[in-house]
Amino acid sequence: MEHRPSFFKKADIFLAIALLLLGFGTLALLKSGQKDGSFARVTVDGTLYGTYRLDEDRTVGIETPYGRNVLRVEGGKAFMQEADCPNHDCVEKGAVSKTGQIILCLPHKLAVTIVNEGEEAPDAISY
Amino acid sequence: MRSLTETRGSARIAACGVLTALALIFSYIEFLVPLPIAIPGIKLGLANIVCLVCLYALGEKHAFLINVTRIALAALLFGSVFSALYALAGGVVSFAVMALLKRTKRFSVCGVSMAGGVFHNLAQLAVAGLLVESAQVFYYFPVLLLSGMATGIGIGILATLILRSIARDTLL
Repeated sequence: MEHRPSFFKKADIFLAIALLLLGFGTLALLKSGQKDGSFARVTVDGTLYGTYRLDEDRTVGIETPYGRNVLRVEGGKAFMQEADCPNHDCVEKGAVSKTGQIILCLPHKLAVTIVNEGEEAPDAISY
Repeated sequence: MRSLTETRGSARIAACGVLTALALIFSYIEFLVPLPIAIPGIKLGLANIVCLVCLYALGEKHAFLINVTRIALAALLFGSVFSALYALAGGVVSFAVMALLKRTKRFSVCGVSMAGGVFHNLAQLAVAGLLVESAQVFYYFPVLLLSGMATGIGIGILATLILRSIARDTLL
């Protein structure tokens, strides 16, 4: 073992760059597969609760056996306006609009997924 | 009085026990005081200080056993089956990466720790992806990558300081 190990070596910089490239590469790969979604699909406990068009602004009150959530659809985006869950992760998640994006409210076993036309049917069945 | 690297036999076993207990305490501190950040999966990785010091001062075998024992005990004492699965995936993968990078002798402790932090988070994301059967979890990857690098470097600096002290003084 070295007696006074140095804090940083030159190779660390290359390692950091390699890791960052890995991260940005993953992000670019995921983004390239994304497009604007047309529906917000709401499931409670894995079963379909409802599917809402993103091009019509509306407020949806969702009563689950575990608690209440209020989903707001506005300007092609969906976000959780209110929830009586303890952590409010779903409200802090913010707005989603791209296919595959998801708002989860784990305490209420609620998931809001952005989907495209035709995509909601097979998924609903596979649950 | 011999240094930690030179200890043999029962003294070494005792040292491993003490270090496992120390790593377990770090795990417990992180369990008790979670970071006030909304993103799940971000943590300091305090127990990795012990893992790094063991890796450099005692060698791969002892470091691996201490780390796995620490994870198993933490899961038994204050975790669940799922937390054990996440912790074990993160612990084993990050340990493998750190041990391999250390073997190249090209990287500093901080560099090794930085990669360890990133691969810890990557392994946990992979487990999360398998459990929820969705690749969507990888949207978290860039955030977890940056946090893994940052905490990994911080932990690496602390481990370097400790390793310098061990090289100077004696523990046993």
